Parts: sequence; C-alpha cells; structure tokens
Amino acid sequence: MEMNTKFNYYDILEVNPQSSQNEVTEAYSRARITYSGGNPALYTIFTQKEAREYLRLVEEAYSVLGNKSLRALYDQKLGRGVTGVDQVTYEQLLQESKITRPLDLPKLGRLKPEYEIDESFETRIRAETQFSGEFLRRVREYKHVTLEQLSAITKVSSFYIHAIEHMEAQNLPAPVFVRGYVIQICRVLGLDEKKGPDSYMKLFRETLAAASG
Amino acid sequence: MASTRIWSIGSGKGGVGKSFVASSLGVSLSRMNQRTLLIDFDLSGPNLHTALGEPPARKNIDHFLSDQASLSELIQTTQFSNLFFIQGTTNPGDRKISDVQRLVAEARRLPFNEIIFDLGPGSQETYLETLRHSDEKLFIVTPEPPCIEKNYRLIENLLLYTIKVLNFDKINVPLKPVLEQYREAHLPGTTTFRDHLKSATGWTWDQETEIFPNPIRIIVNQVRGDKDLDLGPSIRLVCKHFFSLKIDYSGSLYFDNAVWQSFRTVEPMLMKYPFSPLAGQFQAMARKLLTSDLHSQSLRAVV
Repeated sequence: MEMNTKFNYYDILEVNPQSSQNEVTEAYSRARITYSGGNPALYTIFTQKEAREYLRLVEEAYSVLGNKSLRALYDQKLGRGVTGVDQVTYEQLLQESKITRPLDLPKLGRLKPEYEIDESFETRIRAETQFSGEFLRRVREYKHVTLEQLSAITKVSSFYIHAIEHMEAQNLPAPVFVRGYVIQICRVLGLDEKKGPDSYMKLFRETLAAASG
Repeated sequence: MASTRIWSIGSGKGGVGKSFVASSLGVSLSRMNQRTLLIDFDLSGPNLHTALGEPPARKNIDHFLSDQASLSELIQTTQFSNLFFIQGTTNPGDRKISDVQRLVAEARRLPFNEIIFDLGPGSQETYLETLRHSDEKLFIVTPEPPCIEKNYRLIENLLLYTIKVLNFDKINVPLKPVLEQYREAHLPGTTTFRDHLKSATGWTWDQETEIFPNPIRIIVNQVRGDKDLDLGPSIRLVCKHFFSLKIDYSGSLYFDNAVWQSFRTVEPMLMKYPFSPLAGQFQAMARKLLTSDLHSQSLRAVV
C-alpha cells in the first residue's frame, strides 16, 4: 500500500500552523518567486509544466492561509485528519465559510419573544410616517432593547445611536453615514427599511437646516 | 575525542569558493578559541594552502593514505594560533572507501575541536563517504544554472549513497533508476521521492534525522545582485517538494573583488580585508552556523 506524504497548504508554503499571517505572506512571496518561470533553482528538478502546477498550488494555498477565516476553517479540517492538497480546495472552503457565516442571525431573531406585544402600539408603528429620533427610541424601549445591545448588534457606537435618537446633528458624522446607521437600526427594530430612513433623514435635514440657519 | 565536530565543504562544481569558505570558516572558528584543523581533501587540485596564505607543504595527505606517515605528522601550523592544516595531494591515485574511513577515524582521534574537510568538486564515492561521516555538510552553490544543476546531482548522489549504506542488507535494487522513474512519474503536491522510494523498495525514512542528523546546508556564493538572494530559499523549497528533504539555507556571500585580490597576494581574505562587506557577511553566516545547534552552546558567549 502506498503511503503518500500528502502536502498540506502549510507544506506548500513551507510554514507551519503556528506561523503568523505575516510569515505566511512572506513565505508566499518566496514560494511564488521559486515557481515563477525561469527560476534557476528549478533547473533539472522540475519541468515548466510541473512548476506551473506548483505555482497554482502556491496561489491556492495562499488564498486559504492568507485569509484568516478560511485559514481557521482549514485548521479545523487538518485537526480532523484532512491533509492532502487533493482533498480540499479553495472553492470548497469558501463555500463552507459562507454557510457558517449567518451565525449572527439567531441573535436578531431572539429579540422578538422578549417583549409583550401591545396591539395599539403595534398599530401605531405600522401607521407611523414620521420616523423621528424620539419615535425610534420609543420603539427600542418598547422592544426592550438597550442602547448597548443595539450597538453590539449594529456595530454602531452607542454614542451615535444616542445622538440619532436625540437628533443631535453636531454629534453625528455626515448625513450619508447617518442614513446607514438608521437603516441598521430600523432593520434590528423590525421597522420598514425604506420608509424609516427616508422619513428620518428628511426630519434630520430639517433639524440640520434649523441649527445652521 | 568525542566532542570533535567534523565539517565537510563540498560542491558539485569546481571554482565556486570551497577553499575560500573552508579557510574563512577555519579562521573564524580558530578565533573563537576552537582548536581547528583544516584538511585539504581535494584530490583533483588542492589549493587550500593558497587560500590560507601558506606555501605548499612538502608532507601531504598522500603520505597518510599510502601509509608512509601518521596523520599527526602531517599537521602544519598557520599564522593563526589555533588553526592548523594538512596539505592536499596532487597525486589522484586510486582512493578507496576504506582509505576515507581510516582518515576520518584517525582525524577524530586528534586533539582538535573542529575539523574541516575541503573536498573537491563532484560526487565521487570518496567525497560521499567523507560527507556521510561529517557532522556538518556545507554545499557551495553559485547562481549559475550549471552549478545549480551539479549541486542537485550532488545532493541526489549523497542521498542515494546514504540510503544505500544505511540499508545495505535491505535494498538490493539500484537506486538511480528508482530516482529516474520518480522524475518521470512525479505529481506536484501529492508525491515525493520519499513515497516513491517506499513503493519501489519498501524502505523509507520517517524523519530527516534518520538520513542526515543535521541537514545539508547550502551557501550561495558569488552573488551579484539582490535577485540572487532568492536562490537559497528557492533551492530549500524545491528540495522539500521534490525529495521531501529538509535542507538549510545558511546564507549568501556577495561576489567581491577583494577575494581575488587576496588570492593574488596569497593572503587570507579575512586577514587582509577584515572590514570588507564580504568579511562581514561571512562573519554573520559563521555566527549563524555556530549557534544553530546545541553543540556550540559554549561558544555563544564568545561570538
């Protein structure tokens, strides 16, 4: 029975699983130079065709190891005994990384059952056309989402969220960024992602004009 | 003496700087208070004495090989207090493996800490046998394709020779055709020579140390541009991918007219141009070589 060495991506780049990202990148540039056409170090050992094949493996190895999340996924596979370059490809890993990506979603879904549904307020939300900061704050408090939770989910700093709720234009960046933040907030609070930001930005500009004029 | 360390300086090709590296390494070691003996074992054209700046001695290694003298009688002093050398022979003669074994055994009994063999070019069996007995093997490569090619052949020959000696009773097929077969059937990334050897002979090595306790070390000499600095790491990667053999890249030395000047005036380069860039590169490389293993821990404070 033939026992194959089965190079893994680390072997291809001549690094090890403990190497830093920086070392991986350096090793990649060395390996690419090694297998680029006409390198005298290949002379009488590898044919041009074999060198091209190695170059392809080098590129593939780096597209995985050079990417932190793909590298982590690959490390898991190595831990489970998948070793050869012929057993796993970059495309597979990329596909798998997309499947595991929506991990964040249950966090958003969990918000729902944590508040008591008040029909009259729900109707008001549905009917609302003026999405002011004050309204956003009331919906947030109705759904029992703290400022910090909202900030952790949307990755918008709680200082900005506070400023958005109080329409404090002087504490906020350019309107184009504010709009992005409001879209995020509306999404988490289950508000209309089109109507909400449009209305808010209209009110926001009015406050802005009032402040400067 | 158990603590004697044997170095061999070899290359697939002549005129690449073996004697220069051997003599400079000898000077570096002797300056670190190691009693060092240089043996010129270039059977095709000895010139170590020139690199050392000494006149050729009358008594040479031929006297030992033909049983006319003991090795200790051939030792010559040099201008360096801890450095000694044995003159090479111009008589190629008919050298046998047993001659080499006698020479190495006798050398190990001499009261030296470091013994450096300056070999001739190519991979005749006498050189392979010397390399096999050496604790440290340094191969000198220059950035020209013919030299690179010849050094790959030397690495292959040493690998096959060592495998053969280690398994004289187990492997009875000639190994050269096995290597040639592998060259044809090689699949990038999935097979190496180690696997191929296993399927062809049933024997393989699990760890590098089973073949070479210390890796073969490559020194790239006569580098003329920064692009040549990539050569050493490239050779290392190619050896890993092709043979599954780990070799060490010890450093690069720039081409330097000072060396040729010093050869002309018959003076050791480190002596004549101690502050040249080349001397600096060599010292840095020697330091790395000497601190790369536990063997030299006692030297570390001196370096």
